[in-house]
Amino acid sequence: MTPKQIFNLQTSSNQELLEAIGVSEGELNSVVLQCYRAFASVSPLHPKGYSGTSGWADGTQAIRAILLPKSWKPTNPKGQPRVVSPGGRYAITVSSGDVNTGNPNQTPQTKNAKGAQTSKSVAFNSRQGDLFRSEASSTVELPSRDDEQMLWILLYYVDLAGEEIRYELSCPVAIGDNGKVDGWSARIIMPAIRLGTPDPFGAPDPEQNLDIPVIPKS
Amino acid sequence: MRDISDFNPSRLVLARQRRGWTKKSLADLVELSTKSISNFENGDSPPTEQSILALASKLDFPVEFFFGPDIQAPSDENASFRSFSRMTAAQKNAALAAGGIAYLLSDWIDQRFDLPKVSVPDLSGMDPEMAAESVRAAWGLGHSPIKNMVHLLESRGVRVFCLAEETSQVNAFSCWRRGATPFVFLNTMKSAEASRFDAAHELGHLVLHQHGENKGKEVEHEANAFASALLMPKDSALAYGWQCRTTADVIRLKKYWNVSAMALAFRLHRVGILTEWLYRSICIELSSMGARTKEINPGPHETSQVLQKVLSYARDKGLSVKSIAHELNVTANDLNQILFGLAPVVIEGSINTMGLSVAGKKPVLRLVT
Repeated sequence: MTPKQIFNLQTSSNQELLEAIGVSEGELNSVVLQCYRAFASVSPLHPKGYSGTSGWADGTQAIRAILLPKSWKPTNPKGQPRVVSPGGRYAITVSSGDVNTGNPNQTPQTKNAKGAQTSKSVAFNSRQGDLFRSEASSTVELPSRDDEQMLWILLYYVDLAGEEIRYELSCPVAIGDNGKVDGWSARIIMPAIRLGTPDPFGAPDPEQNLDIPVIPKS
Repeated sequence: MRDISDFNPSRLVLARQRRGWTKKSLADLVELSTKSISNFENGDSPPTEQSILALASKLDFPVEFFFGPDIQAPSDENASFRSFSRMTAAQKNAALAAGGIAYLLSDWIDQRFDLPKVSVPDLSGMDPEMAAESVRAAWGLGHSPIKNMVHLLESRGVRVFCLAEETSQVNAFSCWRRGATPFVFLNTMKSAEASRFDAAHELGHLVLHQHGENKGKEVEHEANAFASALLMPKDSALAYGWQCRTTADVIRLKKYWNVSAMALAFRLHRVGILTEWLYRSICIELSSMGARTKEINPGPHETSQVLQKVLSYARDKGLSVKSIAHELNVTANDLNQILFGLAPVVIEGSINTMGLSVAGKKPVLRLVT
């Protein structure tokens, strides 16, 4: 898939945005499932709060493992793990979000305060947004510079009570006083992954006790 | 002593192979030349009475054993052997020879009992997944988990025995005896889940490879695909596995189909529930938990209904395994080994009389002071 160089954040469909960035819904789904698997494998003996770290770490590994064969590259500007698209225009990083993740009617935040690199990228993204809003053509040609990319965050939230994982690939443009990302210029909200413990054990179990005839010959 | 001319060379071969010995090692034990052993086995010159006594003693077979009619043990050609390369020739021959003893016992049973008629469909050349569905349909199994693989095979006329090798290196094997009676030999030292999978795998060979090649990567792959589909039908894997996301889910769910965690993870990947990435991570997690060598939360081993019923009837008539062995001119231990794990057996020198759940090693009595 060759990423388009121009797209409209406001009017492009999710599918078009994903195509432009160069990732598929299935790939993001795989990454988020990896986040959840790692999240769920944390036991009560692990350090408290480790499940989020575990999910983030394995999600980062997964998105790189999936995209590097497609010519993306791994980078770590100021310690932030990213994957950068083949043309160097887009970067994706994985992060856990808050309860509003995946809810189109609310504005989610990242779960944790973000560091200097996110702030830098958010400022960069928001400048693109300003440019976008001031453009009559309502399209924006994204700059390609070696040291900066349009950052997208794969934001996921494990809603244990609601038995689902919600996730979205979103473009951050604002950071609150608490240091968490709280504004987005585009949100590609993906269908939630239903959880719930699989339970076949209540299914009817037809009688299968075979009585094999072994008849003595007379 | 019988007439020496009735000595049957093929029985000497079988006895020697059963013990896993080379001609040379046997020759050394009985203080004869390797050439002499070869001559006995080729029928070029029969052993002397004294040699027969020595051979019988060292091989631990009754002298009479060497004077019976030919025994047709499963052959290298008609037996399906898995992981062929991991077995030594001696291990393979010992397992095949144990199959010969199982044939003797099976004949003894057939002379005295009516067992279910053989009804194993011939689906040679069919896609394994489709073949598994056909077998389920033909046998009226629906989509439910298979409660007991050994009983299922026995109810369809398959003779099931233990392959009598005290090592988990040797996998199960199966064969069609005289093209008419299917035999399955299971390694009962493996976990219940692994043994069930083996039983289903061997059924795959019986169904798919009755005519034609029964060894090699391709046929093993087909038998595995058959076993996987038979034990975990696609629709039930989808219906009950679609929410499976974690290693813990796999470990919990495997109990439904009574399969190993690895086998379930593979199946869920195969039917499209676990993505490649998730499947790989789950496999790695399971491996790190030791699941490749020891099943996590294993189920109880399956036993043979036919053999238990036969032995029970025999016992009512005053016949023990030892007396049946006597009739067949083999040692009770040789019968116990092919029954081990499938029916209660008395192991010589043991106080524990059930071979059902004890590990396969011969018990050693120790003096407790």
